[in-house]
Amino acid sequence: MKYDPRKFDLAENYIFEEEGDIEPYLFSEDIAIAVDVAFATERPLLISGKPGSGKSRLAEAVAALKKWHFLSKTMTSRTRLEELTVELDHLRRLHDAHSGNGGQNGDGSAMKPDWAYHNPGLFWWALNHESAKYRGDGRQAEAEAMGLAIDFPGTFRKQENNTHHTVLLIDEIDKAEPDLPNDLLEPLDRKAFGLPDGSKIMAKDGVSILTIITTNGERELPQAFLRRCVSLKLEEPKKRDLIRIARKHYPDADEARITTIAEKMETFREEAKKSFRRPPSTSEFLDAVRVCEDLEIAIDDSKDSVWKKVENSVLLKKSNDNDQA
Amino acid sequence: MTDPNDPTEFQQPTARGEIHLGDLLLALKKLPWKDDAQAAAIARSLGFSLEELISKEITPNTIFDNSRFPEHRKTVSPSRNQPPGSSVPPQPKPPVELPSIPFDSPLKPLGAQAAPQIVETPAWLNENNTTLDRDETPPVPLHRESLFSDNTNRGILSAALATRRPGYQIDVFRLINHFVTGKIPRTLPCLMSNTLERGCQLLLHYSDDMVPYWEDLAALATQIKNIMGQDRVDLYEFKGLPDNANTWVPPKTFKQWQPVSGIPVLVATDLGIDGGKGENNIEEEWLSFMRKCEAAEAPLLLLIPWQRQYWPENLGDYPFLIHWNPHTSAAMIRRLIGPGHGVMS
Repeated sequence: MKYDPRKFDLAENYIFEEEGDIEPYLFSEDIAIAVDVAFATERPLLISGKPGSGKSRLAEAVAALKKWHFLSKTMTSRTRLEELTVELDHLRRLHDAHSGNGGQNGDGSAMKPDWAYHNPGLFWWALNHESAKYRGDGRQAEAEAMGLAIDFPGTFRKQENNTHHTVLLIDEIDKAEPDLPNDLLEPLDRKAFGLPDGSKIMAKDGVSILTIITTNGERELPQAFLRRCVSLKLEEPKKRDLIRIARKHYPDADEARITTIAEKMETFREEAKKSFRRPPSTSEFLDAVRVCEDLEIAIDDSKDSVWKKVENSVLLKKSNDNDQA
Repeated sequence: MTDPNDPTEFQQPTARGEIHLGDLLLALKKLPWKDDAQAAAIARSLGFSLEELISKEITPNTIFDNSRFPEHRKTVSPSRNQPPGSSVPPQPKPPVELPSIPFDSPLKPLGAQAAPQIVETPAWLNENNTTLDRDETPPVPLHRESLFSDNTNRGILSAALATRRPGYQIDVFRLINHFVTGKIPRTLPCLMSNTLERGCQLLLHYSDDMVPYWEDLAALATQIKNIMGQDRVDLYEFKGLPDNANTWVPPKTFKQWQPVSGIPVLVATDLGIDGGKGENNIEEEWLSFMRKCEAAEAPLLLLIPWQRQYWPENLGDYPFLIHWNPHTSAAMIRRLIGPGHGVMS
């Protein structure tokens, strides 16, 4: 008997239908259970899987299903905790202090109060949407007068009872420096972080956050971090699911062609495993389906066919002569 | 937002800590699971392997599944399951064929009656001395700790391979200097910080003399990839001299090692000294290899399993020599190298 998620509404066929810019998403039972567990235990959900397996798309789909706000940040080797919590705009402060053209203060400088230089990060927006908008609690009038109010940096959805629940996506955490996951423990664990002036931002009463963290598994994450997360590994979809996914994305596409490409995907994956190559991902499969549909390319295995070129450039991506074997 | 000057307001929010049995019980109570498979999936997502509990008898080791990440296991021989780029161990020599001429032996064969037949159970084997039940479970290989242990390798290797780049902490002294001279800086002067973003080149010495360390070489490669990320580690192997190091590029080519400016080169090797005191001078080819790294401005680190007194004396100042040993600590590495290799991004 199929699992019926309690914490979010999912159609019986386990498919999230396309909504605006958000693409359809096919849930598996493991995915539905893991998301439900993350909601029930209020723990972050750590999703691992190969690139293109739909990790980030899942976060968008969950936010849309719950009708919550959606915020996302992709990690790089230069991402720091301050970017995710609060940054002080030192340079603007320095310029304001040094330039005398503002004349807002008695000394002729354009210097503003310290809070005016706070740049809120995603955690601040998720924990307390109002104070992030005006760079601090109770600053609405001053911030608006000085033109310092900030727009929500993600997808904003009007929620019942004026609540501000958020799905927060921290994408590709394995790209960040190894210490960043440990730095995230406090905001994730306590749902709070400190401001440069020593005060603290804490989650507003009644606000719920689902933090979804993705990793391609390029780097091992610290054990203390792993032990705080609900974990989900996205497996490669089987042929039947690939066909279902393609049908949802391209309902008018030729079904026989989709089936043939899905069969080829299974073959390529087997070959990739044997030869230590990267297997084609689900997103590359969808690209191949789209290309064949748009350009009306028939699946033809003869050596000089157009399909063979598409296969090489979209699915196999062989880069040099050595790969041709 | 709390006010730091108001002691009644400034309180620490409660920390949730690590996932524990309470989370599992909460999830199982709150969620509408219908069968054992769904309950197991809930448990698995929280890091508990409930399938083991359902299908097998309960043993203390299966309550928390620490083996979620099987790459941590240290018992895999380097000769098996090697990732691409790992060398194939030398094949054993074929057995020497024995001559076909039969030899006459002066020994007489024993007759069938020579062995005494025991028909009665010895007197000492009674109910007080029963035989032990044979253990049918296959033997479990002993856990083998690598030369840099699970607890310390992260700190040691991060300290060894970190390079420097402009960080985010403001360099107050330079900033004051700008003010004093009446200039507004175009960019904020910042202090340097450590980074692993440059990755490293890892050269593993798979010689016959290094056979006792082959498992450690494989473990080292895994440790470094886990810390720096798969894409940031270029793994090479060599048998004789490091200049000949190469790596397998699937399906059928080998890429020769070349130093890259600013990228640290870590060589795990015994320098061919084989634990002997010898002449304590290293071959010229090794020195040439070191000069090549220096010319390319690639920081060079030699990880040597033998004790310090066996190290050659003519290695010069350029390479950082690190004792590959469980007693080596991150603090020792930081004292040796300083805050990080001074290559600039």
